Amino acid sequence: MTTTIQISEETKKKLFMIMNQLEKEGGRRVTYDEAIKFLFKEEKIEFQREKFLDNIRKYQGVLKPNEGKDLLKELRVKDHEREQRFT
Amino acid sequence: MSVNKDLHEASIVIDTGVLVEFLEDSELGKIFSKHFLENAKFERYYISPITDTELKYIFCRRIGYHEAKKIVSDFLIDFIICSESNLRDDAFRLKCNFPISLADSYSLAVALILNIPLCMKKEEEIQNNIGKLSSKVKIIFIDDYM
Repeated sequence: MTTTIQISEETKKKLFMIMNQLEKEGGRRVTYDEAIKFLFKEEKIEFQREKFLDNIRKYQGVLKPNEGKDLLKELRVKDHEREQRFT
Repeated sequence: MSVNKDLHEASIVIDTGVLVEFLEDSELGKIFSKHFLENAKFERYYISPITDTELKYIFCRRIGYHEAKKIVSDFLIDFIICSESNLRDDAFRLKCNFPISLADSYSLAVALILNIPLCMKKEEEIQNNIGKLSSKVKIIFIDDYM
């Protein structure tokens, strides 16, 4: 059975952040109910900066200079042109 | 996930252009790495789902769908990709009020809804509206660290 509770915008934002973190870790959608249950358990998974940096540094320089910038610019320009045609 | 450290203090949204600089290993990319990725202040790196898609598109154009998906998914494994369904209402409102790209609207929406800063590159569309946008979201330009 579900019920309605009143929480502040600030608390809602914090719960939303926890939901996003849990969704990332679990690979599935997480409800507010699950986020609150998680907080009750006071589970702790520490951020591991070295592991984080080791992973992303594998991809530093994987694109040639301006290669990504040019493709992103082209994508944005095309989107803008398409948008202009519809407005 | 540690719930002790203040969630807002340790969190930041990263826009697509910044990640592209990092992937190109440009000067801006190195600056971003030094001031944001290696900065002990930050522990949670958020991106919008559009950033995920844009990065995959860039790699898809180079190396095809399957490799693009694999590389970008691995690259972003420690980033938190916000659910689109939680962002769409703020994103469309931003898009409606400012002449900015939909992709920028989504990055701004993440920052707005979570009340955390957004790290991006200077671009004309954003700078032309920086006064009003700054009243809603704290925007940090990596260019300012040059």
